[in-house]
Amino acid sequence: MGKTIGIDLGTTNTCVATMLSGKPFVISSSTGNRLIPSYFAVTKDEKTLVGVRAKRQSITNPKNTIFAAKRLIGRRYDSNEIKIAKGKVPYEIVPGPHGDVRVMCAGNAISISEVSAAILVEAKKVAEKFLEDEIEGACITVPAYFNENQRQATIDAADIAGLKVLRIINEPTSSALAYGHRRGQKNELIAVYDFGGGTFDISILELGEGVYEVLSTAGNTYLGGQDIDNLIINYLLEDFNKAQKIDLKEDVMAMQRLRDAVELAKIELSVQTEVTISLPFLTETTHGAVHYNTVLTRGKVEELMSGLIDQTIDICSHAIESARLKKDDIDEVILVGGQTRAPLIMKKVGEFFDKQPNRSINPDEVVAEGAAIHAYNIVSPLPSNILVDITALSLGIQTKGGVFTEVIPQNSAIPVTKKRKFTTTYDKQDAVRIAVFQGNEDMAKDNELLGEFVLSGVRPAKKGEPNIEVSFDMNSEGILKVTARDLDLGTEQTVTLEAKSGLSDEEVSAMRQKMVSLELELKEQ
Amino acid sequence: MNIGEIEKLLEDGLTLYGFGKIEEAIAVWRKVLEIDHENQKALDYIESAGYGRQKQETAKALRFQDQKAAPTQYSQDTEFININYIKELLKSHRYELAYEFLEHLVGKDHPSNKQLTAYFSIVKAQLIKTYYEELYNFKKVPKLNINEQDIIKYNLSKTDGYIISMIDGYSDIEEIIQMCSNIDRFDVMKRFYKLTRLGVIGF
Repeated sequence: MGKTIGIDLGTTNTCVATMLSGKPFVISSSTGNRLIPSYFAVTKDEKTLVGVRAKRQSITNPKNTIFAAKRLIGRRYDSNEIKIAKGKVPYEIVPGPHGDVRVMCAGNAISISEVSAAILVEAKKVAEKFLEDEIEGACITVPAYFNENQRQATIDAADIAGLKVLRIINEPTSSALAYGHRRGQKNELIAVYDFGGGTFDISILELGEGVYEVLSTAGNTYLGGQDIDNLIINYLLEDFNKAQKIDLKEDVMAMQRLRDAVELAKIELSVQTEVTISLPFLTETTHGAVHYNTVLTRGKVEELMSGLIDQTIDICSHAIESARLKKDDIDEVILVGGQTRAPLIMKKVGEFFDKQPNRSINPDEVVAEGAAIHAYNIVSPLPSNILVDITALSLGIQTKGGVFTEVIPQNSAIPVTKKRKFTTTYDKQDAVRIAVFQGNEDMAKDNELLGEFVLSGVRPAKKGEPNIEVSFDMNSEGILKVTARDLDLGTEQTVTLEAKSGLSDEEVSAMRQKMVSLELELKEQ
Repeated sequence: MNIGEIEKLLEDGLTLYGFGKIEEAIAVWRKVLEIDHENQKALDYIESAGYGRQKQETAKALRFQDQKAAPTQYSQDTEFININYIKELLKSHRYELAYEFLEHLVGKDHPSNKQLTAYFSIVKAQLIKTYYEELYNFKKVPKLNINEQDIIKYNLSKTDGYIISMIDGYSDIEEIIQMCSNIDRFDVMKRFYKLTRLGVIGF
């Protein structure tokens, strides 16, 4: 029998863990790194780079280095998220053949699932090398707010990478599993404060008797550790410009070195109060080389990041309100993401919840650990934990004027069934179009279209007279069945909405073949 | 005087040379020859510097000619001298010097000269072979051989600084070349070779 693994497929970093002697264990690569940067690149010589090497050339090879693919996966090209992403990444985002998203890399349009697959291949390679065994299956984590299409696209990425998906689980649930595994069975309300490289999420969960129930979740998909890096980089650029009268913004080699140095400095400042940044030969003028030496203090970094942390605290308030709880009800606060090692975050989170956050779990690794525990539980004969998830986004239909009308509200525990009554919008209307959307925006077009169908045979009458009931039934696997019924005539139409990743089965299969050669290439490296 | 001190003198000379202080550099290398009469590096450096000086003088002459609005001609005599000089350099395996000379001729002055271009390709291929052999087939992981604070004592460029910053303790030279895909592959090899010869990096 092969081994099982848990993978935290993150926006900026990916982490892989397994179970050893009944305990979760994070696997390091041969270079000793416990995190794989979620970066994919193709060099001028058409060599594929994945992970740390792709990241270390990301600024000097910006057009052909794909990062933060998680923000794009499973999205429609015409969605709002993609419009925002296009203004924030240096690589080109183009439409795919099915309205999905592709990225241009070395002249080729690549699907987002392929990019994520390359990172999963790297994670699989690290695990196989350590375990000296084939991987039987993996639990992969996704943010709680991922819609069904995004989840399906993640499953496609795993298929392309040759990984069998045992379960897709939500990141906060996974963190809670890792926490619960250490603490044992205990009834508790916990808050998972996840400040990742690119995103922030807060989730409130109830733990008890092997049941992990998500009560609410909230976040910001464009707020993370990289925003803090950018603030520090801008501060250092100004400092350098003031001293040397040189603007480094367009100097890609200098910018790459500055970004690498800031990342290291930020880590050191978690334990030290100041750090020296020394970058010899950072740039040059007609008079020769120019070096950069400066001292960065924790105080300065805290001053820069303070506003961003305050934003996360506001989101925490919102999540607690959504769960209909008070701050005092929370028993433990779990920190997730390397950035949470920053003393200022610990202080502000501690002050908000009026209790010290739990520091017993490595914040970089807790999500992967939980996924490893769940993967092991699925294949082992022992009773598995019960994970009760919620709908992180509202589900509803488009009504008159393109308005999104909610049927299942955000943060509803699944399985769930909800019904709502609607009517016709013009006289003698004998059919209605039911377009099902998922999202939290007021206008339907700003949310994700899951599918649509037509209920025909509606009683022709004056507008507003017919009674049409729309029922949404979501099972524990997240499969949604939508039924529309004319209550006067009894005619009904039901459709089961299957998630669409934007790739056909044939495409996934062809991409798998392509990925096999990349796997061989990565194994040789 | 020990080998370390000779090496230091050789490096000091290189630093001076890099700053354009050619006469001072030659004087330092001559000091090496006073101690070790057959020191090949010192001999090579003096010869290269002599060529550098010649280049400076030629440049001065060209600038003077430009001022007089008299365009320079690449005469058959000049070509004969240049080709013979290249042949001499190749015969004595001074490929780096030949490369610099040809880079100047082909890159700037005579890009369409087929004979010079052919020699340029030959020299480049020979240098790649040398770099490959001297840098352990690019399979070794390089490391910084000096204290970080001493690095500014060397006459390096920002590209050198960038390449040094890519040394992470686990990527080998080939992998670093891949990571430096914004720089010409040959240029990265050449700089690695220079940095190892200067003793800035080792294995």
